[in-house]
Amino acid sequence: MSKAAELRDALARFCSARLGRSVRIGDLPVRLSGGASRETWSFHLDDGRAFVLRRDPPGAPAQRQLSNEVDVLRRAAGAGVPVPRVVWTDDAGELGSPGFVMEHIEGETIARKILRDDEYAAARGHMAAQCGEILARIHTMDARGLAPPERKPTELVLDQYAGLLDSLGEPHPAFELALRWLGQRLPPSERVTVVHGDFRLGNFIVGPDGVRAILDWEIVHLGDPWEDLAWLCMRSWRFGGPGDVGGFGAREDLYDAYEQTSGVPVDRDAVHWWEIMSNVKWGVMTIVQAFTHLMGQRHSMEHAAIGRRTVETEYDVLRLIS
Amino acid sequence: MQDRPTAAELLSAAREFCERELGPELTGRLRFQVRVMQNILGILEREWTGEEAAVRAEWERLRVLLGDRIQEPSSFGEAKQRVLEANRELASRIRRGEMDERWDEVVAAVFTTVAEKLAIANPAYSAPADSSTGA
Repeated sequence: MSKAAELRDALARFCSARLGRSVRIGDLPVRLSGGASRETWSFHLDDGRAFVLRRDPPGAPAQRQLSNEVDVLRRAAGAGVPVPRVVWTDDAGELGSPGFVMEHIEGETIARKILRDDEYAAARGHMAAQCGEILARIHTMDARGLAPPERKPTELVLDQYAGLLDSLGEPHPAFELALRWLGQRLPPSERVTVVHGDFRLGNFIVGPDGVRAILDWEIVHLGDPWEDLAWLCMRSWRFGGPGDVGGFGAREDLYDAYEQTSGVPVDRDAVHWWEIMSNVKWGVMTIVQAFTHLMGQRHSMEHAAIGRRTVETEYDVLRLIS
Repeated sequence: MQDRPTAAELLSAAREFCERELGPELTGRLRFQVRVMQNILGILEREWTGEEAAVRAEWERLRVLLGDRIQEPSSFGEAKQRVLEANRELASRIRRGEMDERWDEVVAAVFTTVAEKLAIANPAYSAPADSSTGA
């Protein structure tokens, strides 16, 4: 039986038990792309209601606690952040591995389409401001259960990525130059807030009206809020689009909306610092992803190919520090 | 020596098959994967013709930065090994702050190497139209 067919049968049992009546799953569940370590599947019941399942990859050790993502989704909703509602949790792994079921939100997640299709032209016009407002709300979220950083987030992230580079053993003079530059210009890092950690196209559900939901809270943590603004602006997440903000918008629209919602002035220098750091982070992550393929942990052409994208971030960091 | 097509020509034929025939037959995840495969084949085509000159030029830049301690390579294979070792040395010198006094020179040399790597890995990325990277 195929993976999708197995999952369909497990979902039928799971949903029937939760609903207290026998239900059938419409077609085969469809695997959606997105989510680096957690699988995402779309399915619907025979009455037409649509849902999304997030689960750890079966057979692989869980990288992060699932309950955190569920808890965070609920708290995000409480802070006024648009997120899908969590319907059921599956801590016991009845669906093959631990996961949870969310409501399905209609819309597009593929960056290329959001940035190019006429349908989203109006959305693109105000999404930068919308992102500023949403980020301001994320940065007010209840931090309960998240570990506070042991030191300044800027110092921590520098050490962490220098260490990661060493452990990978592949020399990257461009990243060393960036780390040196960053180490000599540490921003004050005064606020510690909830940070989404992967706030960018690909993790947004977008409709013609704009951003409808923020997805993929896998790496939410406590840290420096400017990290989220910078991550959204780094060039890799513009997907070839013209705007500095995610390929769709202008920085000042993002900053103005953030300031209006939060009442906190945006520290432009700190965002610049984090944009360089973000490029180093993503660059090192592309090496890690290529190595997971090379070491045989997860054979994947996509992961292999991503190793040749490291140089894009090297190019960007050198331009940003020059 | 093999007959024609050359390696680059074979790669190009495979890439064009993905682009014109295989891709349009597929949807969703598989279509995306075929696009990744096309990119891989494109990288290999460019690498086949451009990598040796790029590696030798990189070695030359590293020799200037690190001094004559690094040996002249005889073969392409040896050049790659030497470049790897020299990059390891350069990376640790930058980390220790030993290149701070030659900062601009090092940044310029590393940038040239990165631009040459990019010309093989993804030439569209450094298109002149891009001028918005800075804050």
